[in-house]
Amino acid sequence: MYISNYDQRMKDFNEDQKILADLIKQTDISTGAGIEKIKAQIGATRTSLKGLDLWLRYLEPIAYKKINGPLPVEWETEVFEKFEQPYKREGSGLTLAELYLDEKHVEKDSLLDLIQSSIFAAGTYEADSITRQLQSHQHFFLANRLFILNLAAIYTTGFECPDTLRIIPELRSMLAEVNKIYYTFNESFSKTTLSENYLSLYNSAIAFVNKEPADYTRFDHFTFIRDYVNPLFQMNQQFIVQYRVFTKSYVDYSLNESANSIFSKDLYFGQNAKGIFLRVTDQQVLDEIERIGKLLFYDPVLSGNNQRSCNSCHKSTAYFTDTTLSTSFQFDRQHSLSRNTPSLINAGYNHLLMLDGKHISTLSQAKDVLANPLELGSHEKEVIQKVLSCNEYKKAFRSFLKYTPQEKEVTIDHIVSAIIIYYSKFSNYYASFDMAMNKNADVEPAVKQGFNVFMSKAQCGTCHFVPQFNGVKPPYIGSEFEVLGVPADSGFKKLSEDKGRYGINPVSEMLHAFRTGSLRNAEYTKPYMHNGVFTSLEQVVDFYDAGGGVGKGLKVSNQTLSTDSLQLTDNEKKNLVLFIRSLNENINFDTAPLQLPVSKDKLLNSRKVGGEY
Amino acid sequence: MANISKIRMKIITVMLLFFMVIAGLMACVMQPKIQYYDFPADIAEEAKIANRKMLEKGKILYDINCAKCHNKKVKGRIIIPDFTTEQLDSYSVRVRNEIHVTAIPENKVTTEEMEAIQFFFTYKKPGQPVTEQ
Repeated sequence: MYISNYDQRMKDFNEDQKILADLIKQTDISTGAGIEKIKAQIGATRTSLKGLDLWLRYLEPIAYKKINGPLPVEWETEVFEKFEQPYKREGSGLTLAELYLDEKHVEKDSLLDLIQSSIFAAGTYEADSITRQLQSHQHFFLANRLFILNLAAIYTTGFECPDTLRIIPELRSMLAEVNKIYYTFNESFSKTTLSENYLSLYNSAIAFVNKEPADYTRFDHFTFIRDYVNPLFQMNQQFIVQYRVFTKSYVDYSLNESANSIFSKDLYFGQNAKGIFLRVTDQQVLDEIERIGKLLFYDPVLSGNNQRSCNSCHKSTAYFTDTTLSTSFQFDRQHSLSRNTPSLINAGYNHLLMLDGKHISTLSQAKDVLANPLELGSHEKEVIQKVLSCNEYKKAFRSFLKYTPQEKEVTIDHIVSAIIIYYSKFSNYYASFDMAMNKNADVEPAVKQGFNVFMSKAQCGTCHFVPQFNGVKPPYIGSEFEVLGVPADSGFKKLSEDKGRYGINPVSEMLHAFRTGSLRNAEYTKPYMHNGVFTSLEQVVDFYDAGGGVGKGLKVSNQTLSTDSLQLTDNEKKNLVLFIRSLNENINFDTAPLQLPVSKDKLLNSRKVGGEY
Repeated sequence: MANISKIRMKIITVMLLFFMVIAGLMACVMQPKIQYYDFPADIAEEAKIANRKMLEKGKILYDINCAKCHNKKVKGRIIIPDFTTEQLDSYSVRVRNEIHVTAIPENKVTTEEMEAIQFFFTYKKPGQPVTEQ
C-alpha cells in the first residue's frame, strides 16, 4: 500500500511534468495568454509535487533542488563537508520556471531546460537505493520530522512559492495528501504506526488550516505552530525513540533525537561548546574549567600588549558585544575594525562562524582572534607562555591534562576551550517567545501579530528561520548568506565596500554576501548589519521595507533580498519590532572577576581585569 | 703473563657476556615502541615529526573512542583492525553507520579528531597488536 502510493504519486508527477514540457513546446510564449496557460500547468504540477514533498526532500535533497530549487545558483557548505571548498549547485524546476516567466524576455529553450532538468532529476527517485528505503519504517519518521520542521519554518512563508496567493492553498492540499500517506503507512507498517493521538491532532491541524484565511498575511502562523506543528513534532520525536529509528542519511546529521520541542535549544547541534574538553562529563571538573575560562575571558594576558581581553569587544555587560561603536577599535586603538562585533550569545547555533563564514569551529575562530594583529595581536606560543607564567592557570591546566590524553602538554586549544566553555553557557537561556511556543507562558497579541507579519508579508521568515531566527534552515545542516545591499552610511550615499563572503569564496554570487545573523537579543545587540550602520531596529525594518539597497536607490547587481517595497503599515512595523523584542532571552549574566591570577613575570602583574581598552 | 692475560681474557669474556645479557634484557624491557606506521622514505624529516604527532594523537583518540568496539582478538593477541579506504571514507559521514550515530556523534568526537583517527589508519601498518605481550 505504502510503496504503491509512492509509485503512483511519482507516476502522476512525472506525467504532469511531461504535460508541462509539451505545453511549453506548443505554446506561443510571446502572448500573455500563453504565459498564463503555462503558469496554470506549473501550478498543477506543483500540487502533485506537494503530495510527494515529504519523501522527496528527505530521500534526496540534492535532486530536490533540481525539481524545486529556490535559487538559480547555490553555493553550499554543509556541515559534513565544511572542510571542503564550497561547491556550486545549480537549481532548476518549478519555482525557477515560474519566476523566469515574469522576466521581460523569455526564451523558450531556457524555460524548457528548467523543466527538462527537473524531469531528469525526478528519475533519481526511482533508483533502487532510494526506493529500498521505503520498505522499512526507519526513513518514514525521519522524513516526517523534516516535513514537520518545514511546516514550522518553510511551507507557510513562501520560501519556494513565488505566487504568494498559492501558499495557503498549496499547504491545504499538501496536508490532505500527507494525511493519505499517513494512512497507507499505518496499513503497511502495523507494528510501528502513527498513534491515534497523532492522527487526531493532525486532522485538527488540517481543520485549522482550512478554517484560516487563504491569504498568508492573514493566516495565524503563531497558533498553527504552537498548537499543531510543535506538538506533532514532539510526538514524532517520541516515535523515533520508541520505534528505535536510526538514520542513515546525512540529512539528519545535526538533528537531536532527544529534543522535545522545536523551540528547544538542543534541537540541532551547531558548534561543540566544550572545545577540546568535549568528553568531560564530570560537572565539578567542567565548573572548574569554566571558572578558569572566565578569568581568561577577562584577562589581557591573551593580547600582545597585555591591555586587551575578549571582554574589550565582547562586553559581558552588553550581551557579549559592543553596543557603543559601529565597529570596534583595532589593536592600535586608532583605527576601527571593518566589521561590527557579533554577540557571542547563540554563536554556537551556526555551522559557519564570522560574518563571512571564515571559520568552521569556535576553536579556530577564537585562535584567529588571538593571532590577528588587528585584534588581540599575539600568537600561540606567547599566549601559552604568558598564561602558564601564572601559577593558578598553570596548576589548573596541568590538572586538566588528564582529560585530554591525546595531548601531552598544555596547548592553545586547552586555553581557548576553557574560554568557549565559559561564554557558551550564556546561550542556554530562553526568550519569552520560546516560552509561549512551549506553552509555558503567553505573549501579548501584538507579539503574535508581529510574528505573523514576520512569517508572511515582511518575508523575514524566509531568511531568519524558526527556531533560532538565523540563517540555518531545516534540516539545520548549513548556514545561508545573503546580499542585502547594506549602505556604507545611514544616508544611503553608497554601498558598503565590504565584499563579505566573496573574500572566502570568490564567486560573483557571493560579492557583498554576509551570513544571516540571529535575531535573538537583537534589541540589546545594536548597532546592526555587518558594519553597524543602523542604530535602531526601526531603521533596520525601514531598510527591509524599502527593498534593501536597491530599494533605497543603490546599485547592487546581485541583491538576494527582494527589491520591491514590502508596503508594511506603521502598525505592522511596530508589531514586528515587538515580536523581535520577544526574542530577548532571560539571561542570567555574571559579574567580572575581582582579580586576575598572579604571574611570575612582575611586568604582567599590573594588568587590569578586562584590560584597558 | 700468559696467565694474567688469560684471566683478563676471561674477565673480558665474562663482562662481554654480562653486557650482552644486560643489553638483551634491556632490549626486552626497553623494546622500542611498536612502529604502528610507516612513512614513505622521501618524506621530509620535519613533515615526519608533524605527522608522527598527528598519528600518535590519532592512535590515542582511537583507543579512547573506538577501541572498545573495534579491537579484536587474534590468536590471543589484541589486534587493531585494518580498514579499507572505502570503510574509512564512510566513517567520516558517521550517519551511514547506525551505531556511530549514538556512539560517536560530533559532540563526542569532533571532525578534526575523526581526521586524526583516519590519518592513523591510513599510515598504520597492517596487523599490529595493541600492546606487546
